[in-house]
Amino acid sequence: MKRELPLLITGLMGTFLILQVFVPHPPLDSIDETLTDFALIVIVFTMILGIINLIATNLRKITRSKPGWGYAAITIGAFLVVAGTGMFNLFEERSLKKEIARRNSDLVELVVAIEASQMIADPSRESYELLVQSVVKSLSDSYSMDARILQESGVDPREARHLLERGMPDKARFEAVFSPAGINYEGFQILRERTQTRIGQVADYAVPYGKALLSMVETVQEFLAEWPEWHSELLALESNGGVIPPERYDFVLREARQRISPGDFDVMGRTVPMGAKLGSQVCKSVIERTKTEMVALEEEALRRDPDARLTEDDARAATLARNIPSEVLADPAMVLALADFVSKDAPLEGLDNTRKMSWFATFYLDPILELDATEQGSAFNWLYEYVYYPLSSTMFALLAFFISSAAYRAFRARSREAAMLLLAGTIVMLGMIPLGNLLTSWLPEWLQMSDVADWIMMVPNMASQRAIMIGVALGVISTALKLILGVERGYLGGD
Amino acid sequence: MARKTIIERLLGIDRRVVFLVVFLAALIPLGFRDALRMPIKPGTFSTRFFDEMEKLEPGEIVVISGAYDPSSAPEIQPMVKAAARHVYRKGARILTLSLDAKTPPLLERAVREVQAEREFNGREFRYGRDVVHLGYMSGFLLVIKAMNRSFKGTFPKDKFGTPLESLEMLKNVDDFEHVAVAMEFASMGVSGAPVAAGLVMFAKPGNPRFRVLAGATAVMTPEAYPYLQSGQVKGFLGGLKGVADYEELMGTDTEYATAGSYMPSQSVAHLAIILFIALGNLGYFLDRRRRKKER
Repeated sequence: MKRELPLLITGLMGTFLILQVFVPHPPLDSIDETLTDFALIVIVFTMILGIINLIATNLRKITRSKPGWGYAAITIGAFLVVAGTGMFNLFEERSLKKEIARRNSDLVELVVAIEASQMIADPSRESYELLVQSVVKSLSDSYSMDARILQESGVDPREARHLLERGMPDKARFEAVFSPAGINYEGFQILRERTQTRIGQVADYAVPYGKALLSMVETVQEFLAEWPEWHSELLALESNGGVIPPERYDFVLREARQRISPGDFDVMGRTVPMGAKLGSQVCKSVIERTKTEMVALEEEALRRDPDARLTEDDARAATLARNIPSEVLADPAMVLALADFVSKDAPLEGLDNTRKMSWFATFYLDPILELDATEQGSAFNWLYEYVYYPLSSTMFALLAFFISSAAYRAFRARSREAAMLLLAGTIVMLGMIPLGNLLTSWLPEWLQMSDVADWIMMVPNMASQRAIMIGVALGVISTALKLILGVERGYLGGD
Repeated sequence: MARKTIIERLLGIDRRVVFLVVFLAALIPLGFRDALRMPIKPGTFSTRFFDEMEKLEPGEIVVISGAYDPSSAPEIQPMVKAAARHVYRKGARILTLSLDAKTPPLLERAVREVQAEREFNGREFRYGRDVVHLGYMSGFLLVIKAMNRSFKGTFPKDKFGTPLESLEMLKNVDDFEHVAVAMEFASMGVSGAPVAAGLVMFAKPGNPRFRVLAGATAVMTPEAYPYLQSGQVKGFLGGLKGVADYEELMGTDTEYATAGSYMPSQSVAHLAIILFIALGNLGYFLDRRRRKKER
C-alpha cells in the first residue's frame, strides 16, 4: 500500500491533466484550476524544504569541523541576516524613509496636502471633495506651524511649497531646495507615491461608509440615552482585558435588540470613550453590518421595483459595500480610524487640530511609515543594493574573462565541423556589434554582417533549436507516460 | 633557456594577458563613448518589437514580467527601461511582475528612473494609476497559468501589500483580456522553458490586440527563434545590441540610451576575443604544418 497509493495518485493526476489539455471544459477546467492552486502552494513548501536542507547540511559541516566549515558558518550567518531583514524587517532604523519622516514630518504633511488638492482638481473625484478639502484644511493649519521647522532646517517653506505644487520636480531642482534639510529625492518620491495610493483608498471607502456609519451611530446614541447602564457595562468589560467575551457580547446584543426594533442595528457603535481593542471590535461589526445592510437595501429596492433607482449616495455605498476588501475590515487601525471619522471627525468641522491630526496620522502616516521590507531605504534593500548586487555582478562579469581564455584555447578549427562552428560563431559575434556592419558596409546588404548573422540564427540555428525542443518534448512525454503507467518508480525511492 | 618560437608564443599566450587585454578592451572605450559611437542598423526582430509597441493606445495595459537578477542587469535593465519609456510615451500603463525573487527591486528601479527622465518632466505619474508592481510569486510558469484565470486570485495584493482591487488601474482588470502587450525579460529560461514560453503557452485571452514580446541576454537569444518564426512572440530584443537597435528606433536621448553607449565597449571586447581566437588558430595551423614537415 505504501507504494501503490503514490503510484495510483500519480497515475490519476497525470491522466487527468492530459485529459484537461484536450478537453478544456467543465468540470475538468475548474478541477485544473484547483490543482494549479495546489501546485503553487506545494512549490512554496519546496522552498521551505530547501531552507531546511541548507541549514542541516551546513550545520553538519560546522559541527564535524569538516574542511571549509568556516564558509558553511558564513553561509548560515548570511542566510539568517537576509531572512531576518526580509521577513522581520530587522534593523529598521536604517530606513531612509523613516529618517526623513522623523526629521521632517512637516514635509510628509505638505505632500499629502498637495496631493489632496490635486485630487480635487480631478473632476471625476468631485464626490470626495468634502473629505479631501477637510484634509487640506487640517494640513494647512499644521503647515503654518511646521513652516518654522522647515525654516530651522534651512529650507525656505514658501519656495518648497511653490516647487512641490507643480508636481514632482526634477532631481536637481529638488535637491537645490531640500538638500539643506538632508532630504533625499528618491525617498521623498516613494513617500509621495504611497501617499497618493493611500488617499485614493481612503477617498474611495471612507466617505460613503462614513455617512452610513454616522446614521447608525446616531441610533446608538439614542439608545444610550435611553439605557445608560449599557455604557457602564461596556466600560466594565473593557477593564476586564479589553475584549468582549462571546457570552457577554451576546448578552449585550440581546438586550439591545429587546429595546430597539430588530434590524435597526446589530452592534454597539463607538460613541463612548473606549480602548483601542474594544473600539476596533465594535466598529468592525458595525462596518460588517453596514455592508450587509447596504447590499440588502439595493437588492430589496430592485426586488420591489426593477426600475427603482437608489439615491446617489445609497447606490454608491451599496456598490462599495460589495467591493470593500476584507483587508480594510481586518486592519484594526483602519477600523479605528473609520470609527473616529464617524464619531468625531465627520464632517470634520469644528474639531480641534489634535483630533484631526490623529485621524490623519492613523490614515496616512502609519501606513506610509510601515516599511515594506524590500523598499528602498530598508535594511533588506540595503543588503540587496550594496552586497548582493555587486557580488552577483562581479561573479557574472568574471565569466567574460574565463570565456575569452577558454575560447582562445579551445576554439580551434581541428576538423571541418569545428571550422564551420568557428566561422558561424565569429560571424554571429561580429553581427551582434555595430562594428560588424561598419566593416562590411561596402558589401551588398544581404551580405552585411548583421544580415548574415540573422540568417545563421534564423535558419540553421532555428532548425537545430526546434530539433532540440521536439526531442526534449518527446523525452518528457515518454518519461511522463512511464510515470503515469507506473513503469518508472525511481521517485518513490528504495530499489 | 631557449627562446620561444613564434608558434609557441601564439599557442601559449598567458591567460593573464588574455584577461588584461579583454579588460582594457572593455574599459577604455567606456571613456570615449561619444567619440566611438557607431551607426546602428536595427535588426529584424528589434524593429518588430518597436512596431508592436508603436501600436499601443493610450490607457492600455502592458505587463512587464522579469526573470533576471543583478548579474545580468547590465544587459536586461536597459531593455526594461526602453520598454517602459515607450509605454509611457504612448500614454499606456505598466503592470510588473517577477518570476524570480531577485527581480522586483530591479523592475521598480527601472520604472522609477524612466519616470524621472527629462522627457516626462511635468507629467504626473501616480502609483496605482500609471504603474503597479505585483512583486514576486513562486511557481514559475504556473503563475502565468493562474494569472490567465485571475490576476487578483494569483496576486491578491501588490508588492506593497495594497489590495489590487483598490488600485485604480486594476479595478476592472483581472486577466490578460484587458492587456494589450505582455512581455518577458529574462536572463535564463524560466523553469527549463525558453524565454516567454510561459506567456505563449498560458496567456490565452480572446482579445485580438494581445501580443507577446520578449527580451533576453544575448546568450539566450537562440532559444527564442522558434517562437519568433512561428509568430507566437511578435518581437524580440536580443542582448545589448537588441536594445541599442530599439533605442535607435525610438530616437532615445543619448543621455538615456544606455545600450547604445555600451556598444563601443562591447564591439572592441568582441574584436579582442576574435583576435585571440584568430591567434590561437594561426598558431594551431602553423604548428600542424611544422609537424607535417617534420614527419
